[in-house]
Amino acid sequence: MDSILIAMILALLIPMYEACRNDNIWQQMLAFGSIATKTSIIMLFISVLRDDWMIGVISVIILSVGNAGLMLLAHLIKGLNQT
Amino acid sequence: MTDNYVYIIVALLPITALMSVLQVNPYNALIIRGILGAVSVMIYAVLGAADVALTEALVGTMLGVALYVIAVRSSFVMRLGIVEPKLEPEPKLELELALAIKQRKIQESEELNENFSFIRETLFKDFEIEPKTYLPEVIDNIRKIVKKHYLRLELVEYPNSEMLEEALASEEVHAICTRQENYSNGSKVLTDRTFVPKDRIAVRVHRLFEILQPQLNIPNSIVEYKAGSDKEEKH
Repeated sequence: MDSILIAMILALLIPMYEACRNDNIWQQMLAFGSIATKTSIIMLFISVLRDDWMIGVISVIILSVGNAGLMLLAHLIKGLNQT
Repeated sequence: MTDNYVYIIVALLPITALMSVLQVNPYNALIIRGILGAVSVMIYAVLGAADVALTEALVGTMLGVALYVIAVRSSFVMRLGIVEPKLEPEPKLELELALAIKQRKIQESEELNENFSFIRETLFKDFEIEPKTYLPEVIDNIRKIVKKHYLRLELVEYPNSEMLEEALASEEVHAICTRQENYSNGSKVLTDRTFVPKDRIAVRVHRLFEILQPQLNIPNSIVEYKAGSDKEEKH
């Protein structure tokens, strides 16, 4: 099970590299969305692995709220480019 | 308790922190700050601090980044005051036409030569020549220069040049852009047909002056620094 988790963490490095390399702000937003979802899924996986319901609930909340925050941020940046 | 993968997850935190420090553009840095928040939430949750993770996600990442974007957006701005353009159909063509007619008349009667300045003034009054013709080019150029320093250009329009100068003095705007009217006291300008007005950009903030002066390479435009009442520099 640990090897699956390590593979997931390595997959997390791909959007991080993309966010670091790209200067386009929307590419970075995409990378951010990808990372936010991936970290929540990793947390869910760990909660199942440890049979820990507390981490599971937190990760589900963060998965939903993180997406809402991303929407808010995208809206602010979109308004910035229009003016 | 301490599994091996915890070490790998914790190692992600300094990587994202370094990425965030190395960013130059403030907006990109804020997005990387969001990534840093996501990674730290994962670390807190994996280490067993669920309440800390939730607070970091809601307050640290969501609210913090959104507020910072709003703050950067409203502070990284250069306010440029201009005289608002008047609506008139093709003033330049009409002026050319009028100039041609007047010049022919003047050539016919030599004694009118000394009344050049009077004729010119009435001409400009009739057609309400606004110093606007070259301004879009200057504004585009300033916008390009200022964008390199991650600033936005905000245009503030004033009805006349007196109010424009007043706005600069009362620190409502950071800079003003005006057309200098050289033709009011010389009689030569009308005779050579290619009369070129001079654009004058007065900047109140010294740092903006330092940025604009070497890079603004439009012919017939000058950048000058006008110190405000207090010497404090602000953006």
